[in-house]
Amino acid sequence: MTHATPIAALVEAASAGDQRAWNEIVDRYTPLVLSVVYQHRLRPADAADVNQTLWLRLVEQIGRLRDPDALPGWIATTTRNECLRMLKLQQRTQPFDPQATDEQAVAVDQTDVEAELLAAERRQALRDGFRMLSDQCRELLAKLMADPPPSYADVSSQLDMPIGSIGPTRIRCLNKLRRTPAILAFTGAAPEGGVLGAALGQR
Amino acid sequence: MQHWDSDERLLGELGAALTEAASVPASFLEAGRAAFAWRTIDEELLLLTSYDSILDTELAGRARAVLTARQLVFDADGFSLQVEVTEAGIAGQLMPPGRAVVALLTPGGHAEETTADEFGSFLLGPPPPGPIRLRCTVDGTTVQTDWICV
Repeated sequence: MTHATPIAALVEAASAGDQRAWNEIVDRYTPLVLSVVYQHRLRPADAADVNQTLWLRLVEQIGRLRDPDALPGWIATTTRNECLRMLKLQQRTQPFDPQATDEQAVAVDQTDVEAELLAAERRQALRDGFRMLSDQCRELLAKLMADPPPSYADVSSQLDMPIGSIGPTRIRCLNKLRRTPAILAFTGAAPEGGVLGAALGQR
Repeated sequence: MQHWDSDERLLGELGAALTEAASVPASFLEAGRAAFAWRTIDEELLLLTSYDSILDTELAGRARAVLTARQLVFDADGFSLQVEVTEAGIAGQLMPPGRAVVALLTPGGHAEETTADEFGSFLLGPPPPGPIRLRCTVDGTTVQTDWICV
């Protein structure tokens, strides 16, 4: 099990009892779980409970997943549902105040929740895509995304790469990222032709 | 809508995604990894939550002030478990009714055990914090609920 093992292979191995495959799944998708948890502003103890419940539920369900590629979506949705349950639970244990609007404790706009859930899944897709890139691409992109951005001269000396090839390699690596299965699954684009190709393909 | 056609935006969003992953507390990863110990090898019947009073919006709108007990129903083929959770404890009812051994489990292991009477009724103490599940053994058959925070 490596950082680039496809999710379907991890799901299959974990279903068969491979703890290492399971650990890789946990390492990969806990950021997604937490991202959704943080959106709901739970108390720290409740956040930990939701995280634990999510993984316990996945242990039960992993052998029953029909489409392993849908795992990130399952994780995001299940986490969201558990967060809502937790918020309701908090609300119930507080004294009833007739002056308060009933949904105050869950005063999160549903459209915002949907948008943030989508954003969390987008970031997960980016991480999954990034994982599939070559070492060279991952090294270069990791350097370039630093804040503030480094000079090409610094990147050139740090990665022992000709300064003239940094720009073209950056373009090539980002295009590779766009064509990884994780990103394509998310954008719904055709494997070839990029955004324009996908738009044309819909006609 | 995706904004991923711009190299700048793609790189920026990728940076944010990787930063988010780097800040995950170790305790969350450990809890996730440890959950694998609960993998069931045999085909034990899993009772899924089919009703939860706190998610019942109709009920909440109707009589919020009188809601003192949380009601849950777990279901599977021909088997149902109804429970009511209050601060005093958990009262449960098995369907079909009958004698059974009922255990309350936490991620750490066994928390409490009791027996259901011939009518399938049982009582357990107040639930501990965090996710729990109930496991019932009826005539040598074991069924258990999915994990839930009560």
